[in-house]
Amino acid sequence: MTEAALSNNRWPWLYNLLYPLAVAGMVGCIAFAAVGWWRPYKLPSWNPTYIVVAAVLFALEAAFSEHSSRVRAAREDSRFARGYWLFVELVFLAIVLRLIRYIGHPPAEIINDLAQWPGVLFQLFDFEYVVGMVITFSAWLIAYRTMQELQRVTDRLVLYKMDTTPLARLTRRFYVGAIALVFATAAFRPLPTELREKTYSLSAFLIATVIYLVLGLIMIAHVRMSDLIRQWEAQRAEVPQGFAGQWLRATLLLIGAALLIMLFLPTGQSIPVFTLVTGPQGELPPIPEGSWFSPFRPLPRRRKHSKKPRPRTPRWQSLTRSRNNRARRACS
Amino acid sequence: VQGLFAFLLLLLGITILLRMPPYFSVIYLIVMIYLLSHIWTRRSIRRVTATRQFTDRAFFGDEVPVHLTIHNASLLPVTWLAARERLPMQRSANFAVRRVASLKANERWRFSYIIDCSRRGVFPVGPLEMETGDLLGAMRTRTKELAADKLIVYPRVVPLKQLGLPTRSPLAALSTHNPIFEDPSRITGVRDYQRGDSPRRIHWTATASAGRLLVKQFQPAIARDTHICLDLHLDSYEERRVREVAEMAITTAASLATHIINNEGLSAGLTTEAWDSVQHDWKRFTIPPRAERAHLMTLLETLARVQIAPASDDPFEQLKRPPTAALPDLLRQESLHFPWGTTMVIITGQQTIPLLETLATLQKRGFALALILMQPPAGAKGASPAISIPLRGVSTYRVWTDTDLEML
Repeated sequence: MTEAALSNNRWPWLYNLLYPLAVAGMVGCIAFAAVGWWRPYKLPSWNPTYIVVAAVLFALEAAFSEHSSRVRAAREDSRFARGYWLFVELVFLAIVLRLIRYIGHPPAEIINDLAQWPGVLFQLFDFEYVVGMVITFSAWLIAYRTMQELQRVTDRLVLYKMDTTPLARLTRRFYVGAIALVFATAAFRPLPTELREKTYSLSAFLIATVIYLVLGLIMIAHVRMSDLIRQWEAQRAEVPQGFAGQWLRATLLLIGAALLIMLFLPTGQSIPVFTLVTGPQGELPPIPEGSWFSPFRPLPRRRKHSKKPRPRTPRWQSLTRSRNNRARRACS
Repeated sequence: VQGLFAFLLLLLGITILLRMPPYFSVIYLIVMIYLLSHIWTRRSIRRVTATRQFTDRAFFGDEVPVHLTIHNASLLPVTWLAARERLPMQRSANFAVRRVASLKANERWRFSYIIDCSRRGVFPVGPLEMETGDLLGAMRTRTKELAADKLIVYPRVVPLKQLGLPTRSPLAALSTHNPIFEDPSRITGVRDYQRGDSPRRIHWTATASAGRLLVKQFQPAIARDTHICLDLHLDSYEERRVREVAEMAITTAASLATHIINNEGLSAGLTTEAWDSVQHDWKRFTIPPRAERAHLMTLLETLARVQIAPASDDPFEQLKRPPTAALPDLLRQESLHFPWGTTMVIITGQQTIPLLETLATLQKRGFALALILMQPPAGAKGASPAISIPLRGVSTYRVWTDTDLEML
């Protein structure tokens, strides 16, 4: 076993559960944005939600693949053997992607379609499948690379060939993903309404961004923990056994508290987060008027401070006129 | 997470430019994480306190356990706390005890380590630096410090078999073979009366029972006020081994003082001029002779803190000539305060003409003198070709190893 692999055995749940789940979730969010962008332009009748699910599954598989590749490297398997296994994995994934498409279809139709496969092998590669492959295999590759970087965090402190550390690279990767998601949502807004109605609501994009950020921050927090532990161990500092568990609890507490405050903050933006699912397709939920704080709420118009007109003193003509009138009324 | 603030600004810009109010929720999320991290770290470290417990005085060769307790008095947990306690007797600050922990609310974290007192001196134990930070690394880490305490390690004491220092004091206190002075409280026996014996010495009870005049025989005894004059001037020692030989001189002084006070029950004092490692300055120490055990501790404490040169990493700085008086001047100045008959034990690295002249003067003034030279025995390998003139009436010893010291 390599040094990194050995050191990772201390908290196996971190590398076998938390990181793969977080990476898969984040990759799923990006895949969701990609699918959401393809949907209105090319395939309006297409419901490609399964690609998002496939991207998540592929990302989980990438974590497993990276782990098994590392174990094989530690066993000193040949490069050819490792490449062969990787090829088998990718072929298997391609088949799985094609099969996932059948979810929701009647069994008779699936069997009939599968029976035609040997004859029309190249026809299987339709536009939908190619788009799906691009998205899911990109997700697989991103997840694989991210897992590799996560493993490198625990390596001994050395001078890297590149001028950045694994922590810096992971952080940069996280920001790139977040900015891509934000831009995907932002660029969606100027589209005409008929195009927007063909895809997911903007609120769903917003939820994807929030999920991405939450998962990313949990992951980055643990990467920082691994980085700190590496530094401490280089200084021969003892780290207690339950340290990672307490770190996870603290991270969840911090992010949970921030999420709660975000949701219940009495602002004009909190309500739309609650009405994400019920909101109209492609439209931003309305911001209620009179909310406590809204950056776009029009400011109350300032009244012009006008001076109260002074009661004018009656002129002497009107005074006399009123006297004459009163006298006339009395006579009549 | 470095760049969280920049990301936040970018997000804010996009949200405002493209007028996407729901994205303010994301901004609030990041701002909240940032703020909560900041508040959490700041508040939790503020309520963290540390205490250090150890015995602050130890003898050479002892092992001193140091117990550290770090208490998180806050209701918030401290996610990570890296404690770094600098170890004493180490030249580099990198030698430290390092521990990491995660403290729950109101939790006490205890850990300990052992100091091996392998060197004489006054050493700082600590400081204890506690460092904590946020979970994401978005903010700089915060530190808190527990100030260093002092540990005094007494000099090495070699048990002396027999110490035969000269004396001229008429006050009898210590038994001796020299029958000049006798202690009337210590009767060793009786003998027949001889012409010229004082009638006070007649043992009347024994005379009555024996039927002839018998007189008491007293134990011969001496008294000694010993003053140890330790020379810690750089010029008095060979430059090549200045530290080692000076350490041996200090060990000799400590061993003599311990033997005189503990074993003989006599008084001992100390005079030296050296670098004080507590006040970080050149200082003259003059401790008048006394015979109590507490006084011995004072003497040993003084011998623990003196240095021939400041402990500096720069060797040129170390060997800079100190602004202290040379031994002959020191002896002349300090002897003015000593009573007549005091035994002066002078511990130095070499015999010089001015020193011999001073010793002759002191002898004339009625002091009993013993000179201990920190040199290899004459003729031995490494013995210096320094002046070695035997001065009549001055007991001269050479100490180079522990064996030499034991045989004093």
